[in-house]
Amino acid sequence: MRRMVTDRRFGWLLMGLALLVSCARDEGIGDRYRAEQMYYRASKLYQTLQIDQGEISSERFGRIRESFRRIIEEYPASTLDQTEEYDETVRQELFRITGMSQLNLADLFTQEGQIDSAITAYRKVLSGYGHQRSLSSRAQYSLALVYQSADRWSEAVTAFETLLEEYPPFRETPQQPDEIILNIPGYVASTYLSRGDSAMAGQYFQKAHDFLSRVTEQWPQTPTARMAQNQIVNAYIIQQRWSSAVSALERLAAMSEEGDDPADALFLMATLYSERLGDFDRAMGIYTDMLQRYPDSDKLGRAVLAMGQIHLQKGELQEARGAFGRVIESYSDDHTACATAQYALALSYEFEGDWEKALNEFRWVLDNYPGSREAFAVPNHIFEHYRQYGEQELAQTAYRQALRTYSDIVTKRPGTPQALQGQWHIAQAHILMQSWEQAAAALEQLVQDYPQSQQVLPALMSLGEIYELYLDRIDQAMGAYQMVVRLAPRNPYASIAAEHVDRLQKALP
Amino acid sequence: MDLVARVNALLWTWIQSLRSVKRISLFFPFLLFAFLQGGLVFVLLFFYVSPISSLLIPLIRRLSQESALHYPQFYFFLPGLFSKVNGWILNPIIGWLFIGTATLMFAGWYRERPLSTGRALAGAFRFIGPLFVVGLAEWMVVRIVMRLFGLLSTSVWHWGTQSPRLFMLTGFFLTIVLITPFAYTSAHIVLGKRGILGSLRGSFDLARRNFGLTYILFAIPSVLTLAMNMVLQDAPIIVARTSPTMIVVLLFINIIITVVVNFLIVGALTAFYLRTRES
Repeated sequence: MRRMVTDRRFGWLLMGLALLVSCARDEGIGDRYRAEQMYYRASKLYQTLQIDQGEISSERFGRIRESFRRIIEEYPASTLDQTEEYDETVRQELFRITGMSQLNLADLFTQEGQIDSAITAYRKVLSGYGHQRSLSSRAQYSLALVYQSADRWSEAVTAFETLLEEYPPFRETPQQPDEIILNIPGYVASTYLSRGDSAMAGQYFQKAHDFLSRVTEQWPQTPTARMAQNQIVNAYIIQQRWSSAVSALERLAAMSEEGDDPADALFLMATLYSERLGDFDRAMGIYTDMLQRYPDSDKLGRAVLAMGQIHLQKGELQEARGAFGRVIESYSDDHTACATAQYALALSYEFEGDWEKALNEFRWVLDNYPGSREAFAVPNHIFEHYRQYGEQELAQTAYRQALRTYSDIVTKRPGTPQALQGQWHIAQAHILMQSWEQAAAALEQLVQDYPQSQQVLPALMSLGEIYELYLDRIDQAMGAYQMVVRLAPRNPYASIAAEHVDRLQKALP
Repeated sequence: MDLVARVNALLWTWIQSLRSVKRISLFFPFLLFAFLQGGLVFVLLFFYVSPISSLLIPLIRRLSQESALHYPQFYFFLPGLFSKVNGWILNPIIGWLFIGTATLMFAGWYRERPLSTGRALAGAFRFIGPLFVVGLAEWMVVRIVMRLFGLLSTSVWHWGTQSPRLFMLTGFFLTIVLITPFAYTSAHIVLGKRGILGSLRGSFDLARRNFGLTYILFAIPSVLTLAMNMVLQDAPIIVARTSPTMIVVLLFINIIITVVVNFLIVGALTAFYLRTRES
């Protein structure tokens, strides 16, 4: 062994190896691997935060922030730029990892409610990682949302405008539209509208139209152009400019020929003609055109249903029933359309005065489409029919049957959307019966059991009305209205509720 | 030998091998080799650390793909990397020395003249040449035939990619068929003191006359390593459901299982060799 070590040839071999090792470089792969390891572990910690539903302590937030901060400190953006031995691909990947770490840090501050720290952190992403376009556009968008959540709306608008000016409306190519960016102009305009600033809303809707039109001209015949045109349609619909929406839809249908299902645009156009513009003939023409040109579209069931509903509105009962029957027979896969068609079929007999047939068809809805919106409506509808025609005994029986049906659903499927519907319809049944105490109790139960549901605001408004007008409990009425304002201050219900609160406060002695 | 005699012989070799478990020193050659394998895992885990990164990064690129240089994707490829480096470097170069050492120690134990690890290692080292050449021959035969089997399965029979587990199972049993003739070469070299050709002839002859028994001596304990290899095939799923560290834990468990499997196989083969020589 000693001989071996002193042998010159062995010495040359060792030197050669050392030279080989020192000359060969790993091009930053080692640093990238370490960064990926740190990021993986930090992300795992972050995920546990998102799974936990309870209160998260600030210590826990701090630990997760610290794990991302270590990555940023270990591989600062300034150093990454200057390190020459990195391969370019590795350098960009390191930028991505550290940029994501900085972004996650900002998101954590947002979740914690530390708005100023979040803003600072998002700005750091923008300043340090501006060349990483997807990262910086995400940071810019999040910055705008943070300003909005902090009620700094003008700064939010500026941030949104920066996003539109500095980032293209697509990801890599116009074939990959960026839905967030394309949605922004309409979103800003809608937000102004919901804040009650119709002047600014009008201005921004015009800006949205100009921006989106430029996109369709600059990148024609691309998914980005189609999405932009779709946003133009949405903007007109929000503004209730139905004729403009229809014109935009015509353009969208022409653009959609090569790409998405063009029947979608036609269907919406026909719906606007019939429901908003009252032009049933144009609507029927479009539906008929759809049936001929796009026999494979998944919208055809709803198109035939809509044709039946137009016939029903015009009093053409035979034609209406024909259309409804066709929906049920030929488009049985579209359960929603079939449930609606079956319900409408029952209504057509009721309009004709043939209650026995109508009742039979209503029962068919209950048996064949349980859980559908129409199935929920049937028991109360039957009760309401008997009540309107003065058939008290039958009304009482139907009322009790309706309550049994709805209570059954609430008991068997607690916490589900069906149970929520059941609870709502219990309240409606009591309202129809003018049993105000029971109606109030049912609505209170709904608000308590489903505080996050969309039904809460209408329930609170109904509760306020019942307490005020029928039970003479002004305090409780005010409480219900005030809760609407507290839960959703920007919702249209809130302004109505606020007016009621003002009125009731003035009427108090 | 008739069937009853073969079954008796099989049971007898197992009993001899299992009885040897109480002699802890018999594990030492296998533990030494396991230590080297553990060292290999450790080196692979730190492939990204300078200066070894300069050597290991190109090697990993060559043996797998670019994505193996990322975390945690590296752990998807770690079992395969370990298997390749172990199968191409550790086993063919040095594995036979430890088998030779273990054979000498088992023989000493069976003859009630136990041998220390150091003396057995020195004894085996005297036969390093024939052990290496014969081991290399066996390694080449297995590699060439399994490569042909792999090509035929995927390109001609088209069933390798559709059912990877069945492919793995078939490959396992085929490998044992290929190594069975070489089962007694170490014993012939270190105990029978025969040369390269003599040990090959002797081993082929003994294995031919007792093919089923020898095959079973290999196959049954090896099922444990097959099971572990099948588990490690799902490395991406294991990483996703647990953590990358679990792959390392499973690899170390696999190494320990291999110690036990090799112990039982070498113990049984040595016992059977001695019994046939003495009879």
